[in-house]
Amino acid sequence: MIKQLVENSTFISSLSIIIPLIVGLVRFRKLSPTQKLLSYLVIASALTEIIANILWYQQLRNLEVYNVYALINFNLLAIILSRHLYLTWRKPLKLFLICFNGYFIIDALFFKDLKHWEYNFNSNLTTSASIILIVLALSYFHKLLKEVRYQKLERNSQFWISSGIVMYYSGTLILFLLGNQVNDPEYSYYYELHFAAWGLNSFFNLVLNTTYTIALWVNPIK
Amino acid sequence: MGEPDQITLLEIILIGMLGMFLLGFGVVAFFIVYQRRLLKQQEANQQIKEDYQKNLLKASIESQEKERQRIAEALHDEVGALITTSKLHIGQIKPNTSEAKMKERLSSATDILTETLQSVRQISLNLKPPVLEALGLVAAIRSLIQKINTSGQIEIICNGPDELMVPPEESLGCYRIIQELLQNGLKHAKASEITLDIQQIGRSIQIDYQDNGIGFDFTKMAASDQGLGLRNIESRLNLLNGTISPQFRPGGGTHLRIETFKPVTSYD
Repeated sequence: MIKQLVENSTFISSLSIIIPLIVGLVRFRKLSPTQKLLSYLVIASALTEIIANILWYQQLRNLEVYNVYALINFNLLAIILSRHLYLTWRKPLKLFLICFNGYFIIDALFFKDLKHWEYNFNSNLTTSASIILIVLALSYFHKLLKEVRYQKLERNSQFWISSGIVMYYSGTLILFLLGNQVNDPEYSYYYELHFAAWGLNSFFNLVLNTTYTIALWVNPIK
Repeated sequence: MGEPDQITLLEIILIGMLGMFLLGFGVVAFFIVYQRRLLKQQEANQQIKEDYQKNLLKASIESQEKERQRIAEALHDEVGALITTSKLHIGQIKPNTSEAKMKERLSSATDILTETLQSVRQISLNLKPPVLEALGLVAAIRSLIQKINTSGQIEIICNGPDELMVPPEESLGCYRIIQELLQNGLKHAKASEITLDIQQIGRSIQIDYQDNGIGFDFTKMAASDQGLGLRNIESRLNLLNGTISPQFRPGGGTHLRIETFKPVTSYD
């Protein structure tokens, strides 16, 4: 019963990407550059969900799809967040992103045991990416507070994106950190742990997609 | 031994995930509340600023209207009456008027026209004192003080340099501010002594006004609809990029400090 409930919530969570996808596509012409980048991210996320679900229903492991998506997702979110960062942060961040991507691509292609990696969750990538994104989103909040003129947050798409990032990546940080243990079927409590953890992840994902939908829905302040 | 460890892991992960999510949610909620408070404060400040600007504009318009009314009254009551009288005198000169009578009428008309000319000159003098243009701000202030002191009602002491670096186009604003201060001191403060300390500090001009009168609540007066004189000063100071602030004066009376910034910078 619990297994069914978790599976259903995971499925609903996967489906929830459709809402920001529709909003993004319908309003694409009216979107600001930040919102357009977010809509690309939503498209990438929707494609990932489709491919991952197809693989899942064909009884094939789909984590490698999520690993590739994690890198795309991280880069797009970092670009979105860096658009509103302090100017002095932008250049070092660009350099850092290049090194970060380079390290994970080289590591995955040349140093990881591909056979082994294929069946494992890339915990290092997702954990470090989560921390970086949380820091970037919090620095955006800090910058907002230091602004000379305050604006209404409801119409600020960047605020909704940052809020979603802070909530989602804070919630899933531990899951990503201990991702391989959660996915290890050798544990006797594997099912309880696996389903509860990924059930929570589905809920957080639902929250994230809600904030993405609002971010794409609002008319940015000109 | 393995099972309790796994239960702990399960607990750590689930409680940790929920805790971290709530922490993230808390950060966002705190930020929203805090930012909203700042926004409210900003809007309140904006409102105060707008009200202040509105008041200044109102004061400026009222002052202009008052000045126009004064000029209109002077033109109507003095100049108009004098011209009408001289017209009457001239109108009495007819072809059959005797030479002696004609001379008498012409002489009267000439006297009245001379008086009219003096009246017009006085009106013009009040609009812009010629000494201000010819000798500068300090001389104009000293001349104004001298005129008031001759009345014997009050003693005004002016301390300051012989010359100030004020552009001619803005010296009238400074002059009017001092004029308004002295008028307020005479009309409302019931003071017997006024001291003006004028200093050039760097690029700005600092005027310290002190009197031994009854004093007044500056903040209350500045916020109220009364105190047209004070708002008039503020309105002029606004144009001069200046400020007015009350200073503590032991033993009562009024001490105001005025600082103007704009005049000297235009010399750059």
